[in-house]
Amino acid sequence: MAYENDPRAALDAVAQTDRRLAKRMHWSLPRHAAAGLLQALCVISWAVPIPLAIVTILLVVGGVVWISHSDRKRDGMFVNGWSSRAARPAFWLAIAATLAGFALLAWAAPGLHMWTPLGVPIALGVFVVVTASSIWWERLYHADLDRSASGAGAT
Amino acid sequence: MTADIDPVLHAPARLQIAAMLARVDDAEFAIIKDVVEVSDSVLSKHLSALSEAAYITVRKAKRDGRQRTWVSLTPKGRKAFAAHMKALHELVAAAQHAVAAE
Repeated sequence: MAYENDPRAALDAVAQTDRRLAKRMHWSLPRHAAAGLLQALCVISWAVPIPLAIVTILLVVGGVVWISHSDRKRDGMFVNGWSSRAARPAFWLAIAATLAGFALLAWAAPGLHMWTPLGVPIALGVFVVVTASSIWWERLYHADLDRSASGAGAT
Repeated sequence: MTADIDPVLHAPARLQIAAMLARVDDAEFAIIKDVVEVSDSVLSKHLSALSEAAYITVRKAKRDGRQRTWVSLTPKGRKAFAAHMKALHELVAAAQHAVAAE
């Protein structure tokens, strides 16, 4: 091909790949909310009795497997939250929200795996922040693809 | 071209395959074919070359009753792709420098 010896043309080919990829990579609001729900369930598992916590954790693990299966079935590919360096601030925000949820529960509950009414608003807060983080993640991921597609290079 | 250019990724289609796989965890054969815009046979040939270099892993999995091929970039492949891209950027920068100096 003509661009085998032309580095600029090779970079343009990569940019073209990123453009085509950008057109395909979209996640729905329910898909973002599913990520938020799993993190919220993870947090609430600390505020329920151990048998219920085990069920909750199994639900979370099952949810993660279901999400990756569903993404692969729908898109023919899978992207995890950590894989894009450019989108990592959103990933860290989701982790921070989850850790803050655990910390708030530890402060509010009389003990580990003991119910507190504050568990619901805390889990709800985690759900909202993680869902928003997931939406932000997609925007950052797309911005990186667009930047690369315009020839500025990927991060 | 300099020694930093990876001969395995030198072929444009292979570079595009690596560029796509660098953005995802794994991708199905049919999707890679659509994005890179190559035929089944050409894609198979390039995937074999990338696999021989241990830049990708290929696995088969059943979905909807059909066998599908899933491809992912290995850590070695990611490193090679990053180094190759760096070399390409450096070559472009050097060329621009040379033009500006004339």
